[in-house]
Amino acid sequence: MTDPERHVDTSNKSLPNQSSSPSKGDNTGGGDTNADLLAALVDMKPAAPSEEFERRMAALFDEVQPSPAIWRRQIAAWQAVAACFLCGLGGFGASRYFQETVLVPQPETRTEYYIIPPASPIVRSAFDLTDPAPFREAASPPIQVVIQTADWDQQS
Amino acid sequence: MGRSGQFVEEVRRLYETQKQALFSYALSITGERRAAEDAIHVAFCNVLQRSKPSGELRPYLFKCVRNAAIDIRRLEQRDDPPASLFNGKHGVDPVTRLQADEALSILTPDERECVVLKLYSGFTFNEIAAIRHVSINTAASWYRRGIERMRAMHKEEITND
Repeated sequence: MTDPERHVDTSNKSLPNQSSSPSKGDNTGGGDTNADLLAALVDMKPAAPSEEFERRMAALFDEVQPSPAIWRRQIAAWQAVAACFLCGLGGFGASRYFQETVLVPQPETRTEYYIIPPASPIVRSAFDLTDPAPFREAASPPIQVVIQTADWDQQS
Repeated sequence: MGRSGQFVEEVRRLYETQKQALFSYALSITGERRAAEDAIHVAFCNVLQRSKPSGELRPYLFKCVRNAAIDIRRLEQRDDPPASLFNGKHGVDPVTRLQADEALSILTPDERECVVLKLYSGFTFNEIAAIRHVSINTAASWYRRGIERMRAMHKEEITND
């Protein structure tokens, strides 16, 4: 079986050269002028598409060009959680590392309590008592002063 | 959308290298420049919306452009003479250009497509057969008959002159 590719290709390639050696008995033609026409046909510059068309095609390709795949990739939930956890941990570590410890002097706290017992006439009138005996000792009690400091507070 | 950035880039590269051939092919089917451009645009829109084909991309693109061009030609149903397949601006002899267009115009659509694919896109008959869904022998016959008819027509013209 004849290979059509080889058969026709050979005849095609010989077209431009037929002007120098036209084949004998070629009933389909083949002379200087035929070869000229076909050679010209092969050599002629085909019509080019318009510039407007070029722009249309460029716009088409720009339009369909997908964004980088990394932005469209789906991320598993555990990956997102792990990323959040790591970022949080890193942030906490960084904040601790760079945090300046400001030592604020604590003011010394000193609280004084004055315990002043009521006088016996006030007690009697308040409780409507006639016998002053139980309150005799409390009639003139000493004034107590209790001083509370931070150290005392801590000890207590 | 089954496309990936790599596929889009591959299609874009192929378009850059093949746009001339694609345009010639589409123009040989539609016969009108604007329709040929539309066909290529539509075909690439479709290709870029699908996933990457399993076979070779280049013949696949030509096949898509062919389908789009045929659809557009059916829709438009024009009666104007087909536009020239060749560039008329850059020092090409207008007579030669006219002769070349005339020579291509006498061919049947199958022969013309096959000649254009072979001469201006550099496809093998195997690839042309794949694009056209025919056997390799049929594709080769179309090409051979096309070339013979153009030769015969030109010989006749010379004789008449």
